[in-house]
Amino acid sequence: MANDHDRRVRHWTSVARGLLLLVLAMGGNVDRARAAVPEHSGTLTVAVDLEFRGFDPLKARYLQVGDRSVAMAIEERLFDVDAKGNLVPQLALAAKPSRDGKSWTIKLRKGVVFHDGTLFTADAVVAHWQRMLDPGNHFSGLDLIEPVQSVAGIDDHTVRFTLKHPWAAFKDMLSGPQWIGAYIPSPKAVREGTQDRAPVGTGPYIFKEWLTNDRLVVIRNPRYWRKGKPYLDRVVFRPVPDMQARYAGLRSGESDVIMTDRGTHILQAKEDRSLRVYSHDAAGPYTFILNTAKPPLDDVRVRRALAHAWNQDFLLKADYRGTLPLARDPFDGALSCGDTGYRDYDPALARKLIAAYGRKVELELLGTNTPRGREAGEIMQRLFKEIGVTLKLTPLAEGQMVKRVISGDYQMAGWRLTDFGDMGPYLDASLNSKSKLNYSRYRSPRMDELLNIQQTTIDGKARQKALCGVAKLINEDAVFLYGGGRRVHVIAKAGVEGISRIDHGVIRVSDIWLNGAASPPNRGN
Amino acid sequence: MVKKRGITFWLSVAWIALVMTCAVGAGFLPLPAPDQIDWACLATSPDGVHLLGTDNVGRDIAARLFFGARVSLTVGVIAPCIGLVFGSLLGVAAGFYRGWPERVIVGAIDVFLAVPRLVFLLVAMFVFGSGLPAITLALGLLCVPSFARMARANTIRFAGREFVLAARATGADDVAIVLREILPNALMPMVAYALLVMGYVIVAEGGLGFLGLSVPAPAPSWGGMIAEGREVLERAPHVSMIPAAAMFLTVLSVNLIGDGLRGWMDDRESQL
Repeated sequence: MANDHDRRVRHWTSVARGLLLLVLAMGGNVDRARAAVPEHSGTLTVAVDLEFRGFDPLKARYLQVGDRSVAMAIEERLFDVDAKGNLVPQLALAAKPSRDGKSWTIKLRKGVVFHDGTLFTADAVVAHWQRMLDPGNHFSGLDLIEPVQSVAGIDDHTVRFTLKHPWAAFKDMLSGPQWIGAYIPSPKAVREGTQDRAPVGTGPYIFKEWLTNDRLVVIRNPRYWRKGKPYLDRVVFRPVPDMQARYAGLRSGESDVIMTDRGTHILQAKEDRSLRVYSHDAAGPYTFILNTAKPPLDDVRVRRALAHAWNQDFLLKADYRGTLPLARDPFDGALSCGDTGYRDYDPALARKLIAAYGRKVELELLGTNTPRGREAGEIMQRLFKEIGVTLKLTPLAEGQMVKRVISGDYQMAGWRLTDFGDMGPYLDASLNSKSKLNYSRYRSPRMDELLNIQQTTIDGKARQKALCGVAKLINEDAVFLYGGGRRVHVIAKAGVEGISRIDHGVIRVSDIWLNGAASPPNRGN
Repeated sequence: MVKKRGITFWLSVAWIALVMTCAVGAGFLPLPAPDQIDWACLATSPDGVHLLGTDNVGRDIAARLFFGARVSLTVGVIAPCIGLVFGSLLGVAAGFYRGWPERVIVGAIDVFLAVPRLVFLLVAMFVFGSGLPAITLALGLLCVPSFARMARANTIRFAGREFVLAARATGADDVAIVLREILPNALMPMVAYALLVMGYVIVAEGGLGFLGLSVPAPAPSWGGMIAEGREVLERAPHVSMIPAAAMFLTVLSVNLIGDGLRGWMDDRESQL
């Protein structure tokens, strides 16, 4: 009955809306009317690629691309970043460094309330950061925030971060939408241990339910501090691992917005007038990680040979249909280093290097058991065969593969760098010989020195020089192979309005509203 | 009187012969290697250079189809044979001796049949790895129960017939009776059935290949080829459709041949 009533109401509102648009159309104002009046209603369904990992930094450890949109719907960071990389106040109002650059004082917003009724104060920020910094908690991202010495509350709405040394990337660690540690959780939910499966934050949407492998639902936060937002009543996030099914679901109206990296779909959607394609380039390219501690990949000649035998360009053409840019360094245009000595496809040189090594090279590549993983593996297998290197392909579930890489039980694996706005701390954690996150087990005093410089200096030029030095050394020592630049794609139905950008793959659902008039007729009913 | 077999039977025989020739002769034909990448031709339609076109990463479909036929045929022939041999042994023993051997064997068969087939295959692939021998053996084991049931039913049917009693009266022992009197008669319908099973097994291998669990790369398999083509189905349907058609025709042919042989066997048996 209630459904019937709802349907009737919706029916009449849509009729009324139609009449209104008709009237406006006669006045020639349709477009302005559509764009100017976001509607405060509706349910948005977003399909992502993988089941959500969870939202407690200690348990989930990191956010997958699809998790980020959920995190941002429920929780907030101290600052947002705009397209140019400037801080935009969110839970904090202003951040000021001390003169020596070794401490930052941050003013917090007043009158913000967590979904569970707890008031947002300095305590929430301090508790969250101390929890991550406490060595006893074994937070896996600890190496990323290693320069932070301590966090303390000055008063109810002021916190002070004390650093071990001036740190240029600090601002990025407060604001990066891709980093789980940037989101401030409710201290109560964290204390009670529920944050991971039922996250509580201050964001525009309140967590409602999470059915494993099916859906995660959030509903409008009526007490949200930003007046007039959000627009939607409900957002349903659905993990749909099969790319084909995800795209078909968008076409059939099952979902309104999807993430995809399938070249064929992206090109098709660009032709389709009922769909819109959004994309964003970030640092942190796709890679193939090499275990530099295990023979034969401990020999730099073998790694260099593989780099020359590998043809990234062809992979992008065959596998992504040219929808990803070529990656020659970890920054992907975010930092222009000029020539970083990228090793081009050159099988003759590769054969020479293998001959110099003098022994038979047999390798195993761990890949995800997806069409994407298999295709890339088979291309690599063929390319390596041409220089006399045998490659065995082992398809695994993503989790299994990650586990083997972390434990060091691998030779090569399909991998990617995390897409930080400032790649400095992440590169330090991934390549520094002392870091626990150095999964390629790469040890180089020269690399350590460069990483140290970029971590401790705040002189922009010196830092850029060091970071570019890191990129050059990666190519020189062939630490990993590049598998394409990080470009995320989101496809939405034409009736989904308000997507202004999708930096780091985040679909900012608080900005989105549904334009009923532009939706296909089967929407809703 | 032997019935005349229709044109479909001979067309099926011709198709299977063609597939076998291609599979055996794949290495001698003027084709590129099945994992050879033509950098300039991605998912191109059939033309003069690539007889059946190329797949999404520029490999020759004809070459992959022929080499893939080896996998399908190997599995399709050997797996039913495994089923036939072990199934006959168990079924004849159960049907001939009755009593407790029958109870044990029939019980074991019932238990085995209760295990979902796909789950069994997935577990087998996970434990033994996905190589051609492992796949063939796993599919062969799956065929054993149905062959055993059939062998048992036929043995029971023949064990009471006059010629068996006559043989016993002349002093023949169990082994001689089974080998000379029962098996030759019980085996013929099972061979015809084996052809039907062959079709089933080829499809099952295709299913595993589709899930990426058949022979490891770079060896091609028909199921794997169909799965790879799924990505470009709208743009280049031939990448999926050619291996799908090959598999369809092969399975149809084995079934038709099986039907034809069964008809012939029934005629023969009615003369018995």
